[in-house]
Amino acid sequence: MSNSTNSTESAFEDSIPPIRISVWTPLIYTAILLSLFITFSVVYRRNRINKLSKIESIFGENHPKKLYEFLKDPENKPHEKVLKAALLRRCVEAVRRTMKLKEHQPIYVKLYQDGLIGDDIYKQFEIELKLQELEFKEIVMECETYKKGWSTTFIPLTQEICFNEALRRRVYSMDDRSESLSELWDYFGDKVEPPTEVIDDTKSAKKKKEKVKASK
Amino acid sequence: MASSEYIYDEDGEVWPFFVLSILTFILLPITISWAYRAFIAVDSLSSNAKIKGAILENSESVEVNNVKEIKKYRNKQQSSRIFNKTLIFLIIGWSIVFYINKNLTQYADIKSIFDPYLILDIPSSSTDREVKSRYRKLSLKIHPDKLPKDITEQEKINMEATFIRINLAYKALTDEVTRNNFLKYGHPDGPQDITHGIALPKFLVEGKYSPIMIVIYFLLIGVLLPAIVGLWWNNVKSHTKKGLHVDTAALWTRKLTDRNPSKVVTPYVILDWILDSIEVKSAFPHLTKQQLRNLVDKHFNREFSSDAQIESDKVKLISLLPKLISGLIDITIVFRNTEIIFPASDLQKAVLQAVKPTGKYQEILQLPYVDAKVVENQDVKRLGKLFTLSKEELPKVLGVNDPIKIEKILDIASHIPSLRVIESEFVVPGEDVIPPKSQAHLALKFLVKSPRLKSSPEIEESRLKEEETLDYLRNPLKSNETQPELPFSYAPYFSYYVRNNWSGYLISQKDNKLVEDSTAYKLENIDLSNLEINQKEWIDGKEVIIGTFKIPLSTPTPEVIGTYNYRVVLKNNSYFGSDVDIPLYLEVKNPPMNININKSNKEIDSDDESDISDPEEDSLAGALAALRGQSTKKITEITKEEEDDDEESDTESIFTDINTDTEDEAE
Repeated sequence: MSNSTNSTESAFEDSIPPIRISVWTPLIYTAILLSLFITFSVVYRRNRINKLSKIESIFGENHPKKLYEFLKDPENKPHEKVLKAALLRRCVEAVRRTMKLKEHQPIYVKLYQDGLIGDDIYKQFEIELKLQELEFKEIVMECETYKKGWSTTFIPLTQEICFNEALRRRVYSMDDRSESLSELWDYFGDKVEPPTEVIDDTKSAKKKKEKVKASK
Repeated sequence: MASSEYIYDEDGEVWPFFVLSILTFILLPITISWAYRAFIAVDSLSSNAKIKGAILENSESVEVNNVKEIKKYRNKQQSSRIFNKTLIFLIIGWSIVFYINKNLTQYADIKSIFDPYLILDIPSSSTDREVKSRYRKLSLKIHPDKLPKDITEQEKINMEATFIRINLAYKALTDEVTRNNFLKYGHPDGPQDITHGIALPKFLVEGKYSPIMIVIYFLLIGVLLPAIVGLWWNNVKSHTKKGLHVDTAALWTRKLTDRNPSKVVTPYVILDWILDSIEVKSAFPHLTKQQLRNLVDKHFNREFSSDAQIESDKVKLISLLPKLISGLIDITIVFRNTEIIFPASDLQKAVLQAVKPTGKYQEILQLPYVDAKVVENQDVKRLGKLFTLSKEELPKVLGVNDPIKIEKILDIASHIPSLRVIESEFVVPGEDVIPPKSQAHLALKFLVKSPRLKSSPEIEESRLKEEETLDYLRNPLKSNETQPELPFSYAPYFSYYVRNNWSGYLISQKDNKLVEDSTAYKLENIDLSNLEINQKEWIDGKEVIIGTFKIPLSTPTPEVIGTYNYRVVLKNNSYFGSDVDIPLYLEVKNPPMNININKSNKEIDSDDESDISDPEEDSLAGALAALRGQSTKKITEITKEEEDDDEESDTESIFTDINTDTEDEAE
């Protein structure tokens, strides 16, 4: 045993010829390595941004914003009041979105923590939050161009509009609701009855209650 | 001489063992799990036959029109469980193991292993005397001096070597020093050469194969490893923990986020969402959404096409749905949105039973053979009502004329369980009331009721009371698991077997949403024996089995004293008419100060021993009161006010005194 180990040791000694390494070798090595890393990270990031930009937005298209930008275009010269109204609409939409996002923030965090949603949608949610902040800033700036200090009353006003609209949406949806609920329960009573404009709302609400009871 | 250094394993003796052990380490668990999945097939009928109150019908016995397709689907699933990628991997893996085992490991050196018992050829339990006698016998036979003269030189040397070994072995068992050596180092001569070395065989490293080796190394570390890790990571990233595609989860999350709350979500809306999922789209690239919708509608209406392609698509699509629906429910639970959870679970039932998710007649329509047109044009909507009808009326209600079929329908209907809740209350283990900030759970006591049975039995209070054993206090929810498991659902139109269960949802009445941080609480264990008893036994109530279901409150009870309104909904996953929806209230109270006194008072009544301790407590109380003076007076006033509320007797004021005192001490 000892013999064989000796022979390998001597073989080692013989087999190491003095190798000359140029100063450039490590430098070239690191350069190649670094450039590889950099290209990888650049490509990866670009891919990711591309992918994120392709993802469907949480909210659909922002029509009020588009409309405002269209009106703001120097080619169209609408009355200032039209512009202001468009800005109001834009801000209302911004308020609605921000409220939705703020309301859903803990939900998204929990979904993400539980692994129920992927990285992309969570990232998108965070981006959407930041975008809404920017949107508000932009609106305030726009607002100040019309009248200095208007933004202090402007924002609460849009909030009120937003709440009011939410309420209206619910009130106006009663007919739709009653229709889809009657479809759900196969209950076509009020379709047969002649429509009476005034009482209709309360009636459908009552029926809804009855149906809920029946379901229990 | 003794050394234990690393030595290059020139002959490549060790690496086959290394590869072998690693391979078996990987292959064994995979094989077991594969075999388990492949050969322990679940058959609903044989499994249900063991469960009392289960429905013993399936697609074949009910003669569903598309039974062929369903069977085909099942067989395909079964064979895909046997013939899959895992099988290929296993075959390759095991063949490598056998090859190495046969061809490369023969030269393992056993000579170096020293076992004195083996050398002397005696059992390892032998005593000293046995060892000695055995040694004597052997040495007589092969002692160098006593060898026969006619043997060759080679044989002589061999014999001598054997004799030395026997001598050693004998010494190892008798002599003190050698024995110690043997025990310590495994050899009577003391420490032996130990060589550690795992290496590839020399011919691979040196010589013409070495470039190939380098290429293999490069492929292994540079290509295969990153590829495997990348694949795995991609898979992790592209699917959520519950196995949904991330894009599907994202789609639904978006829909839930930007939902118009004034719109009613019907099961058909949910169906649209489900059909938009990546899973469905990628499974049926050749069908449009409308075509998919039509397929599902066909399933709901129990229509069957003669085209085999359409039928197989339908079966495939239908079997995809329940998983997706429960995935959607999982996400919606975090949104706490009951308006979506309930239609979604209705849709799930509709898919399993092949019944339209809307309308009023699902309870009757979920039964086999029934004619939907006839059923929807009459008044009977509930299963219970079905059993009040006479034999002449039944065909008019069900649209079935064959008495055998009617018999079967009634048998199935009578085994569809509904839950009759007889008691529902919030409980904090070990407390009589619900104190603020405590860990409470909701305890439901219910009777499993067959639609065949009428009215409800009187159950004595004592049977509802849970004994507060130590086990119960440790884990009050244990009873959820101890009851027998629910059988597979009766769902002949559905392609695979699903276990019946209820999902419990706890809803806060304040905002009509799920309680914060709560999930779907699964009720999977219930004794269904009640379905088999007759009306008389049912009313009698002694044979009736009471089921329990406990739902833990996800958060501690509220800090503020008062009454809180809840609603509990139990949704069955497969039968219509089995759901439960009841209001509840949670009364949070401070535990009364004199609760302990009440107990001790009772003890005094029953127990003679406690009389002895009485005066002691009395004197202690007196002494403490004297020490404190004013403060005690104040406290007694407060306690007296409380007593007025609770209408306690005078004698207890002494004890309340003690109580407050001890509390003071604690401060």
